[in-house]
Amino acid sequence: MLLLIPLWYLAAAQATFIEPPHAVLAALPHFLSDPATWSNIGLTMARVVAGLSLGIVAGFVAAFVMSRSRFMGEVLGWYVIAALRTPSAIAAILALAIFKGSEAGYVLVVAFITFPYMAMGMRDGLNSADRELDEMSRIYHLGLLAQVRHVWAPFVAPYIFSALRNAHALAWKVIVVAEIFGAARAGFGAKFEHAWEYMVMIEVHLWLLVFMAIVLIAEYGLIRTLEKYTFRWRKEA
Amino acid sequence: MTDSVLRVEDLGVSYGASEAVRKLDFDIKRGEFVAILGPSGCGKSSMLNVISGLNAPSRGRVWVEGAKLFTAASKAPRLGYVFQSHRLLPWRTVRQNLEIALAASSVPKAEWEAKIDEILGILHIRQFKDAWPMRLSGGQRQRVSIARALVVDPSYILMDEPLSTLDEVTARSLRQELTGIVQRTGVTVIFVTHSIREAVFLADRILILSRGPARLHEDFTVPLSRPRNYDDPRISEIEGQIIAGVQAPWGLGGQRDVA
Ligand SMILES: Nc1ncnc2c1ncn2[C@@H]1O[C@H](COP(=O)(O)OP(=O)(O)OP(=O)(O)O)[C@@H](O)[C@H]1O
Ligand SMILES: [Mg+2]
Repeated sequence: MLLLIPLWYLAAAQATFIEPPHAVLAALPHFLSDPATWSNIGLTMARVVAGLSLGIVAGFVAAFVMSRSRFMGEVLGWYVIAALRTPSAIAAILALAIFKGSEAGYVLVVAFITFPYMAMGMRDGLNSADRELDEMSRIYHLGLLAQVRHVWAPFVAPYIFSALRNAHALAWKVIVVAEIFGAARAGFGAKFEHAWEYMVMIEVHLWLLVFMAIVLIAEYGLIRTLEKYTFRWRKEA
Repeated sequence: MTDSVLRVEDLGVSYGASEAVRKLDFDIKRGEFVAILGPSGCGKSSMLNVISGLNAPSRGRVWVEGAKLFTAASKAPRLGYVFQSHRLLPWRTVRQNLEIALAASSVPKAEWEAKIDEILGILHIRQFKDAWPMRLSGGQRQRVSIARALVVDPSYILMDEPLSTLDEVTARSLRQELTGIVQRTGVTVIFVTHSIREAVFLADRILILSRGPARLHEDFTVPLSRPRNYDDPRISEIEGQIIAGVQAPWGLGGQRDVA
């Protein structure tokens, strides 16, 4: 990470739009203590969390239906592939056109983009389910609930986590695109766009920095910690 | 009431046109240790799948403790099963693996703790109560698997080559211990193996099956008192008799290795 700083200096010296790190650093305290910064970030974060949650739930339902019925598997499979192949910018524009910049639009864009990842991941998990453990569950008369809790859920957990990491990274990207295209009045994307348009380069840098920090914290602080806890039974752990 | 724990009559198992078990009749009494011997592919697992309640047979009848299986009203039997591989839930601790089996049986919750402690003690793995299965050795895992089978108060325990994946030293000590565990708990065991010597050492009775589709070739009572010694020359002698007896029905060309 620290290696990036000399690079940054070098870039600042070459390009007119890149400010040197010390100038950005100097502006950081004021930026961070401004409540408006946090309300904008909070809004974007809320959109990501709501959209991602919706995407996860939709993905689970889709995967479950796909694994249960061949026909639905085929039908939903096409939808999932189509959603997977839709460029996120196009999905963003479509959703915003349909929902006219309402809050639901932002949430749905994130949900639409993340759900196929969750669906595919979970379906792969369910398809590879362990026949031996299923047999054991039947012999010891585990009920459906116990089976879901003790056998299936832990079994598909690795698939879900790898899907979640993809979906999470994508959610942050697409929400920014949506906020910019959707001409949102508030949120990270809106502020970034605003600063860019008025050429307040220091602020552009600040928004970028904070954004990256938050995505990294979410990934490493939250998802990886949760993952570590979930897989604490593993041999190497 | 007899003290018959498992009775099988005229059992047949087919997969489509191919027949795995042709005609089996046997009766197993409470507390008996019965080994099942048969050449590879003769239909032993197919038979176990029926007496474990997993698959209905194509033909015949099965009773567990006097209750007929595979009728509309029948409940699946309460039993323990020790598989070739341990089949523990790797993401649950030893204690949780036992608790999950207990929760699915009708043992009252108040008795769990004491039961788990007792069984883990018998198997000498009480110190691993809160360990993750993946951190245990193969032999220790198989002990947990045996503990899980015992803890549910089963009508009988099915064991399908439970020692075959262990190294010989571990298998030897666990085999030796198994006889003690069975005596202490009085549990009924049905034990499938490819090792004639193991069958003679462990069992009160050996059901020798024919080549597939399986029929009963011989119902052999082991003429040895307990405790037994695995290296006892009398075991070798009986092993030799059995091998001589199965040459023809198993289609062996005189080689000793039946697996
Ligand atoms: N689900 C199945 N569908 C079709 N055929 C099967 C099935 N299960 C077993 N068979 C066949 O039935 C026969 C008996 O198989 P089974 O697994 O019961 O033998 P086994 O005695 O347990 O063999 P091993 O000693 O190798 O474990 C074999 O010919 C096998 O190919
Ligand atoms: Mg078998």
